[in-house]
Amino acid sequence: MNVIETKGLCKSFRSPLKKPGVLGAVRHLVKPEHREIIAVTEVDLAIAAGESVAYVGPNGAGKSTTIKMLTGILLPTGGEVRVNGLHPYHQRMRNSKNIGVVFGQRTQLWWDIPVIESFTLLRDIYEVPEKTYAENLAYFTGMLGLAEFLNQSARRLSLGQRMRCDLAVALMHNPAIVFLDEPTIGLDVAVKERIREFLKTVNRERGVTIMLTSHDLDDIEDVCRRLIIIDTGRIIYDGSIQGLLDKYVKQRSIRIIAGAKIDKAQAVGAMPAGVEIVTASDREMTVEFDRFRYTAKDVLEIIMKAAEVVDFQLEEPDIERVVKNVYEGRLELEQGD
Amino acid sequence: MAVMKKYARHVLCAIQETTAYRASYFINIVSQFVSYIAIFFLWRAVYTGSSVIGGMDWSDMQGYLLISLFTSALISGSSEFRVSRAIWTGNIAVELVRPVDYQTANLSITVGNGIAEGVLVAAIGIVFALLIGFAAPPASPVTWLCFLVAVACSFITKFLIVYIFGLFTFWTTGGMGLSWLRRGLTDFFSGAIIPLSFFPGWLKAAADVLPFRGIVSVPATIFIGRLPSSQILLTFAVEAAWIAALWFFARLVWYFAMRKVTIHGG
Amino acid sequence: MRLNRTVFLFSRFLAQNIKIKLEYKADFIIMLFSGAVLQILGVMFLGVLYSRIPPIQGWMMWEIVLILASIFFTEGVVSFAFEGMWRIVRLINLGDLDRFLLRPVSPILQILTYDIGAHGIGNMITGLILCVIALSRTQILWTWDRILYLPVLIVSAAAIRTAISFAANCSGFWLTSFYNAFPLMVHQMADFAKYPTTLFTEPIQFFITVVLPYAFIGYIPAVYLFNKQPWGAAAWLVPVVAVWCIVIARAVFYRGLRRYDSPGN
Repeated sequence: MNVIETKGLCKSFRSPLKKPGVLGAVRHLVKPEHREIIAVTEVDLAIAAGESVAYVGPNGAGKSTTIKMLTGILLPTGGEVRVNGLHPYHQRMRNSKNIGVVFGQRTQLWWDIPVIESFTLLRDIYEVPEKTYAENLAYFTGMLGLAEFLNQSARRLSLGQRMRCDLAVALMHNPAIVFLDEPTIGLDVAVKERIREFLKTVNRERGVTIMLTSHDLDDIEDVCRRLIIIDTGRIIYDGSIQGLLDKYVKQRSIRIIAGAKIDKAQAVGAMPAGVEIVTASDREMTVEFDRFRYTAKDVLEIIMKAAEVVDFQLEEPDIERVVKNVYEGRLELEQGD
Repeated sequence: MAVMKKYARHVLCAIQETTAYRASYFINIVSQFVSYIAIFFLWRAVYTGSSVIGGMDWSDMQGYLLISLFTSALISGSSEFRVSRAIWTGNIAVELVRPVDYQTANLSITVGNGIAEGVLVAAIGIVFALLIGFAAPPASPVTWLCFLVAVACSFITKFLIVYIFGLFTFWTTGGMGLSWLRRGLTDFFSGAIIPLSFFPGWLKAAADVLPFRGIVSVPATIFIGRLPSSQILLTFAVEAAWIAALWFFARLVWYFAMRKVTIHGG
Repeated sequence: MRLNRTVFLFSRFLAQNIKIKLEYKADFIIMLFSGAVLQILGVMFLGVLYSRIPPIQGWMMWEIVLILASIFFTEGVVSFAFEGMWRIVRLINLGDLDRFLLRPVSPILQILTYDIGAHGIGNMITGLILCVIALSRTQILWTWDRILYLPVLIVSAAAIRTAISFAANCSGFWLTSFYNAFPLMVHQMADFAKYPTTLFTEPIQFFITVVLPYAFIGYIPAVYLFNKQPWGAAAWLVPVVAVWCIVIARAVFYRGLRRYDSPGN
């Protein structure tokens, strides 16, 4: 059963077109012109319960617009959409009981009252039964470390603390789906770790479906198993992260530090086909290899024959390069990916 | 000269900004007229009974109300809320970083707003005047000159009062209350709705001393020829004194506001 | 949404807002003061007016003061409880409406209770005092139906005022500039309610009876209470008018919501 389903989802905006200067302003008064901006077009989604999906794209690609349509904030211009079997816009209030939302740049908390008061207000708003509320509160306070600032007002919290509170708020009413729009933006590494752990646990233990947009590709690789890439309003990839890696990330690299000066000429000669030296200095060398042809062990052995390896670092295949290339237009993903 | 250019650019930008959203622009213009319609009818009903009240006849009253409308429209809501809005949204931080004197910059912007809106209001006002059969504009060029000076003073005085109240937003959490208070005080003591000549002795004495009368009463009474020439010079002197006092008071409020910002942040 | 839940949430939000406002004591007092001053100015205006001129169309000063005072009072109630609607333009332009839309509570209720206006308290108090004074100086024949009418009037008038101002503020969905004169203009049109409607020309009379039924808040109830005209009992239509206004305001809001762009990321 798909908890999120869309077919041909579109959204466009009308924007006034004005020429610069005072004359342009007056002209616009008399004869206004508009243009249509297409934010999202022909988006088909099918997300099943319990999945954790990353929704990725460059700025202005249409990520937030899609999420806002799925959460009932924006009315789609065309296409069908069903979340938990409901139309998120036309049946907004019913749908909102089943979803939790975290917007990275906005908070659900009231600004001037202690966090715990915001929690109780929201508990009343979502009509969470006392027992569930108490259990969840204890659970989230523990997992996210909220105890130290529960009694402070939101305006005094740091970004990381606020984000953790917003996460608790989003899940307090046991929603089936959680949408997260840039949840780790501006946060430090330790907090990001904590949040990722939390999301994974919640997804695993409670079966909460997660849909996450983020510019932080580490978030995505850690938390999600499925990746959807959107660019200029269209979906260009929808599949597993592993699949993308297997298809497009053929290289891995090893970086070594040598105990003695590296003989570059000799090193280059020692590399077989499919193994390439990318950078080399007197004491350091980075080698890239086709990971389907060689294992890391193979390549390390090859390198150790050409240099005295004192230390080494192995780079995991990651989607950062792929996504970066997609963003920069250097990589066209094939249809049906 | 570069300084003048800086502020001139503010004026031009303000004209563009005011006319940027056309529906809002036209509605803002129309709203100026709406509040005066009720007053107009009220006075008409009053004057059906008697021909001269408070030293003015119906033709005088019509002229008075027209000028009241005009001077009000020169500085409208868009100017009024600009400062407070910048404070609420926190955008003021951006504006403070610019190398301009905030107060003068605001004045320039208000001038721009005034040109964009005032011109249209004046045009409509003239049409309206002809429609209701008002036919008694001032005769002598001297009167016109005094009138124009009075309008300039009215503009600056109103700007300063609006600006100072706008700065008060640093201390309050915004909301319509403060702006309604300002309007109430200004409308009442400037004679916008009831000419000051109607006020009982003690109230009139108070109103004569306050700066508000320069906003409506002075230009309006000059226009309809009811301000004796013997008093004009004195009136202008008092207005000039108020303008100077308010200008410095505004700077003082500004100083305290800046202190609050740097101490409390946000 | 069920009625008792609505009432429950409303009082929750109101209590929360009062708590927050009391934190900013200076601000609270300034606003309280500004409300009172404003209304006193309004009365002074009438006083000045009447000191020089005879009764307007047969209405004595204190009778008009009564109309004025009752309007002050309802205005105070509305300003106090529902100040949030004046924030709609801000909420829309800063994209803060999103939060409200994500919750299983009527966004209208959330908007109305978003803020309270301390100046409303000043309005209410001055309105009440003036009402009492005006009542002592005027002649009303207090029959049972008139006594029953008062609570009906107060509730309906507050509803009409709220609905009209709310709908006017919803213009923010269409007029996207940051400064929007429309709601203020509509609010100022309530000035028409402060005087006998017969003062104005027919198109205007029609306007404030049918289009923006401000006449039902001040003038028509006064006609009824002072028994000025035989059709005075039409004042009992005020709850119907209130329901009508609420229905329209609600429709305007949801129509406007479709245009909501949710700016910002």
